[in-house]
Amino acid sequence: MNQSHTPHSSPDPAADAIRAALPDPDVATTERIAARIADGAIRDARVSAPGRTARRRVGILRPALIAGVAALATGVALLAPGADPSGTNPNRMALGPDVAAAEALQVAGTTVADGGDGWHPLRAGEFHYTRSSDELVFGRQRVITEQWIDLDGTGRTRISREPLFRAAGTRYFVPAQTCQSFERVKPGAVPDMDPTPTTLPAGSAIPACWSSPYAPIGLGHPVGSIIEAPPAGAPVEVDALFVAFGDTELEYGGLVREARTAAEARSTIPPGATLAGAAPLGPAGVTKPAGEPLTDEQVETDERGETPKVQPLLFDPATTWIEVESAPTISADVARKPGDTPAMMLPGSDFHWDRAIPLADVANLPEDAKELGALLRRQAMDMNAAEVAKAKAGKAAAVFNSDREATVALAVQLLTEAPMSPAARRATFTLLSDLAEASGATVDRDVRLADGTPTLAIAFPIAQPAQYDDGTDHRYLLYFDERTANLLGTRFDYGTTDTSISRWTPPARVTSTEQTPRD
Amino acid sequence: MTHLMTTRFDPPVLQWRDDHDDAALVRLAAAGDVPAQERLWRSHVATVHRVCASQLGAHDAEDATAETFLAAFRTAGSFDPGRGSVQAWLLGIAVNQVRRRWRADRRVAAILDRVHTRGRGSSVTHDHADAVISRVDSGALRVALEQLTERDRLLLVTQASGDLTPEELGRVLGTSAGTAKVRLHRARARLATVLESFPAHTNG
Repeated sequence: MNQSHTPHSSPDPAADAIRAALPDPDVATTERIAARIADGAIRDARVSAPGRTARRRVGILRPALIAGVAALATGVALLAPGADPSGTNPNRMALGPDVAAAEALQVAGTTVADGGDGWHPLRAGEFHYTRSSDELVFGRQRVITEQWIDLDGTGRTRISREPLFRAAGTRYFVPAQTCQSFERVKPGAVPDMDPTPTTLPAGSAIPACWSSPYAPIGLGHPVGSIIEAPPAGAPVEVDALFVAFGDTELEYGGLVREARTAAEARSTIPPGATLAGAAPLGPAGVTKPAGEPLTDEQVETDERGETPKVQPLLFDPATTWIEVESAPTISADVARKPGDTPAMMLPGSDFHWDRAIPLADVANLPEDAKELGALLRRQAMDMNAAEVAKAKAGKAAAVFNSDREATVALAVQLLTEAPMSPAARRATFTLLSDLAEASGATVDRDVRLADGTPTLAIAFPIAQPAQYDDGTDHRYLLYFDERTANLLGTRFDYGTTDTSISRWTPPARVTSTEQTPRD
Repeated sequence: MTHLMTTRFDPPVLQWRDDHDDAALVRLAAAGDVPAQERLWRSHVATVHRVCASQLGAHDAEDATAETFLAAFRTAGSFDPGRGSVQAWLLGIAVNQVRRRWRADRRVAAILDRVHTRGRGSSVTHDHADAVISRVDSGALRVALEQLTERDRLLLVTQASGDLTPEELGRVLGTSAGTAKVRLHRARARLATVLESFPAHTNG
């Protein structure tokens, strides 16, 4: 028995019962553990060397967890492997059933390069437009990032969130809370974040951060002022968050979007109690009659279209409220400067293609695969070394475990975002083919995106330093359109539910930052 | 670099005063004091192993327990007694060791299990749950714990093994005290729901 543990004053018979039900290790087990500790200490003493610093797996270009609400769902399978139900797609790239990754990439390079009719280098007065959508880890709410980049590397970045539940124009009350921010942390450390947002006093000013896509008020524009309580009978929406951070799961409340009457929210939930009932959430929200008990069910949705269920939030009666009007999207715009990474990328990461190759030079990229490969490897190594230095200094960074992985990432960034010539694009595919062969990349056939688009998936292994090896396979997956060979999406698969998926639409040229290809 | 005993299961070589508290042991352990390290692991090995063994097979549980103490000795210099007890600190390390050993498919299954478990709609209040749990016999409790998701089981066993306060449990889990309390209540409610589906197994 632990003699040094100070017993707590309040009895906890349930904890006592659970503790009593579990056996202590016997003597033989304790001896084996002692031996392992001794062996481990000797191993540590042998391995450790002065000045050696473990590379920190901070997060390899994963989208950052950003301030405010990131609506999250668990177990979301955004990519569903499966066969084409209609049989063989006649428009697929001519690939055999057991094609190797290297060969598949060579074929893809030829296919996509042949589709580059009418390409010209970016001209003055033109903007290179890219659009990506990022489904965050456990993400159920997509964030769209659009960039308009001119020859100087300046332009515009717009970040938007798309609602999944509420129809535009709906008005309801939400808790009036401060904005929060999330900081990346070293593996194993507790993130420096306060999961309990601060309630804003009634009558206080509307924070400017509420206008950003990451505001805690969710998909709503504030209407009126912060008040003590909504009118009786008014619809109320309560949010809670579920966050995965590396291999540490942080839950502060469950995932919920629930509309109840304010009177019910105020009167039936005692302080500190768990809510005891909920109603299924419809597309416009559902209000519960006052006094009706709630059930402890979870709200979440996934791309498979399961019925949303509600999970109540631990409700704080001291909450103040603000009425909001939901909007189709909430966007934030920033003026872009050269080397800016989209806000969805890891904050503080400088690993971005236009830091390696100024946009004005993209048109002059080598068209010879060996020459291009040498250039990209050199740039990737330099950028990765800079990230390593930042990580060692304790700053946020995106560190790749090997220069090969960094080169793959840089090549992918160029394919998805840079205005490359068809010949340079083909050379990049050849480079990826070489890297696939060297790294043992594999091919997944018949993989479809959530919208049913058939893809050719190439999986590059992600090496793991020994101290972070959790025994699962980590991969960087590239999803190519099976007809056009355009790179449609990427996914970092860390062998856990902590995955992120980014999707791109093919880049285009527009003549102003107010214009999109759809205009 | 820390140095540990190099023989197996040695008895303590120094006589410790009874009023040496855990925090003092950690400070000494951080300085490489072997008897302090030994005293520390002896005091807490049962608690740490209980948590690891509730989640992992025997071999992995012993491994995880050993790695917990090795990690603790390596990082003992950063232990802050103001942030919680030594036991809570060790259990936080143990929980991370357990999580690192969970396989990807088991994690997905656990999370999907959690979705479906919650979807069954437990309406058990936490007072009722505590009463149900404290009345059943240990055998039924062990069986019921095995039927929970890994996550629920880890949470319940960690809190019970360390007799952790909500603040300490929050630190172990990496969340706030309020959220830790909510998660604990929900996990206990789910345990109680499982227990109530059994034929009666009560202690007297």
